[in-house]
Order: sequence, then C-alpha cells, then structure tokens
Amino acid sequence: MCRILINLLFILIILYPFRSKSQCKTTITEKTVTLLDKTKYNKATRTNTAFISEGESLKIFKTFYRGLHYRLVICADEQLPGVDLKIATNEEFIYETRKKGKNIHVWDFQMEHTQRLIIFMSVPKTNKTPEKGCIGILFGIKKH
Amino acid sequence: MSKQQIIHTGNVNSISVIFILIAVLLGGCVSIDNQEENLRDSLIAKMAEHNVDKVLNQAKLVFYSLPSPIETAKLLERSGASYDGTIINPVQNLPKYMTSKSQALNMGIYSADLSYVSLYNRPQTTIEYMNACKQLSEKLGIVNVINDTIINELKENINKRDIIIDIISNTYIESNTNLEENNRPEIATLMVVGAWVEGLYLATNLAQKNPNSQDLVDIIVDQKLSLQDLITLLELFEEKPEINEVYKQIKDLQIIYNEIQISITKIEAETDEEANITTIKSNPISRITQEQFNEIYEKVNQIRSDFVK
Repeated sequence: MCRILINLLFILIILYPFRSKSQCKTTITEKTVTLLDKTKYNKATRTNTAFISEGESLKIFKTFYRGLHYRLVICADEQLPGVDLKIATNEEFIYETRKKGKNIHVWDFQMEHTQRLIIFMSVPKTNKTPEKGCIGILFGIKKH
Repeated sequence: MSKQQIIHTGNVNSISVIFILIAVLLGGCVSIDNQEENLRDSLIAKMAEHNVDKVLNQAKLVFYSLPSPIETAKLLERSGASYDGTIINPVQNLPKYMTSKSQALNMGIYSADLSYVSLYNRPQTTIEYMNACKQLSEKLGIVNVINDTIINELKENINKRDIIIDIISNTYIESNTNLEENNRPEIATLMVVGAWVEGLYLATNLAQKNPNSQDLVDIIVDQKLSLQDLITLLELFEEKPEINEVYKQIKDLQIIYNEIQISITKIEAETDEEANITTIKSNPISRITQEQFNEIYEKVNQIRSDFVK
C-alpha cells in the first residue's frame, strides 16, 4: 500500500509541471478571448501561448492589411512581473508601450497601408527569484 | 515616433555609444552642410537598425502568423468586387480527396471559399461549404470541432452575419490548432497553405475580371509580405514528402513575386489618445507590370488546379 502511494506521489510530481502548463494555457487563452470582445472583433488568429521566464522574450511576424482595424491582446500570468511590448519593422521600432510592468495589454490599431510587422514581447527581469509563467497573444479584426 | 525616441528604446552598447557620439558631434556643428546632415541621418539610422536586430534576436520563441481566411475575404469584400460563385472549388469535388495531403489542402481551400461566400451573404452556399469542411475535418481526424451542433447553430443564425463570421473564423482556427496539438503540424501547415493559395486565387481571378480595380491589384501585391512567412513555415517541414512538392510550388511563386518591388519610405505610429487607437502610417510604393500580374495569375491557377484535382 505504502509503495503504491509513493508511486502515485512520484507520478503526480512528474506530471505537475505539465498539468500546470496546460492549465495555464487554458486560463490565458480564455482571458485573451474575453479581452478581444467578440461583440466588436473577429478572431484573426488563435491565441499563441508560451511558457517563459523573466528576462525572456518572444516575437511574432504578421502582415497587417490596409484599411483593417486590429486589436492585439496580450495576457501574462500574474506571477510574471509584466510584459513590455514593442512593435518593429525589419529596420526600426515604431511603437512601444508606455506603461511598464503590466500583465495585460489591449492595443487597438489600424493600418494606413499593408505592412509586415514584428510584435516583440519581453518579460522584464527582477531582483527576486525568477518566475516562470504563461503568456498569450491574440489578434482580432474589427467587425465593422 | 521620432528617430531620437527610437534611439532611447534600444539597448545601447559600446558600438552604439560611438555612433551616438559621432551623431551628437555632427549635430552640434553650427553650420551643417547637406553632406554632413546625410551622414548623421545615416549613422542614426544605422544605430537604430543595429539595436532593432540586437533586441529582436533575443527572442526565445518566434511565431509566424498567416492571414486568416476571414481576413482575406474581408479585403476582397472591401475591394468592391462583385461575388463570383463560379471561381470557388465546387463541393462536388469532395470525394476526390482521399489522401491526408489533399484533404488538408482542400480543408484550407474550402475554408477560404466559406469565408468568401459568407461575407457575400450566400446562406445556402455557406451551409454547403461548412458541411464540406465538416466532412474533411472528420476524414482528417479533427475531433469535435465542426460537429452537428455547429452546423445547427449556423443554420439557426444564417441571416446574422456577425455570428456566422464568428463561427467560421473559430472553426478554422480550432481545426488548425487541433491538428498542431495532436502532433500533426505538417498537416496543419498544408491547411494554412490551401487557405492562403485560395485567397490569392480568388483575388487574381476577380482582378482578371475587374481589370480596373486597383484595390484587387494591391491585395495581390501585398501577399508578397505574407508569402515570406508561408515559405518560412514550409521550410520547417521541407523534408516531409507531403510538404516537399508544395514547398517547391510555393517557392516558384516566390521567384515571380521577388521581381515586384515594394519600397517603403518611413513607417510611423500615431496614437489618438481620445479614441484610443493607433494608426500605423507609411507610404509604400509598389510596382507590378501587366506581365508580372499575368505570371502570378498563371502560376496561382496552376498550383490551385493541382491542389483541387
């Protein structure tokens, strides 16, 4: 009996990170969809999710089309010390969030002409023990 | 955002400091002739470029996002082109698709057609094409994404355009995600390729019938930008037999697109604080000749014929 319990405990310890990653992904995806506001926006992509640590970053390449209005939603786990957002072309940064340390970003933008942009997101480093967490990114297109 | 502000956004390393010093020294001169001004501009631009590369290359993860079928259909609708039901892939072709490769490609093609017909308010055709997607998704083993509940929901709301478009964009995204999450990323990629090619096929065929529509021509030219990302995605699975041939076909298309020049002068983001919206402003200049258009038209038609046969 004791052996079975030890084995069960061992399996739970092994599976815990997977469970927490999967749970985190589901929660973050739900949050991004809520913030997209489906009464106003259609999903243009799925929610891209990643499990990242403080000091790490990720980027998305996407072409945005002339005349369309977009919404970008970024959600990060609360244990992460926020996400900084920068928008770049291949040559330069054209936009960055002014408020640092936010875990949620909802950015509405429209394109005067079609452009391929790079969405760069980074989790700042803190002096505390580095935290890991989930981050989700979703794009929507305005309905009317 | 000005060039100076851009400088402050990046990480400044020693090379950048030298660039800044030179730029500041040049900027401090009382009389600056054009040559010096140009030099300063080019140094500042070089520094900004250096920082962009440095910052962007730190990314641990990279995602490539292709246009969704709804996004492309919205562009076609906005161009003012009339609906043409003769150019979409007939649902009668469904029994032909026996391999997972042809099923995935045509799942993408039917999804693009479905988006097109729904945006042009064709209720009966919308239901037919959703049923076609349902059959292909079942053949591909995509579980419980397009089921009878979804079909019934579509029928019940057939005159509510917003709800229909929501259902269509959700089912496309969820089907694709389902394939990726079930360790079939190459099949998911084929679905994306099918949708992308069909979007371009619809645009080129509508442009052929509406030769004066600059909007349609612009949609075709603009696909050069997303084509880059499509190629990158295909390169991940280039060695897989089901992807290899498709990769070569899309590469052939890229060779034609490479001849089209798109030059951009300056891109700026301007935020309207009151309306809480940012406008990305730019002034691109693109040139496409009639010959280049014809080449794209022929190549896309050839690729698409191969996909739907």
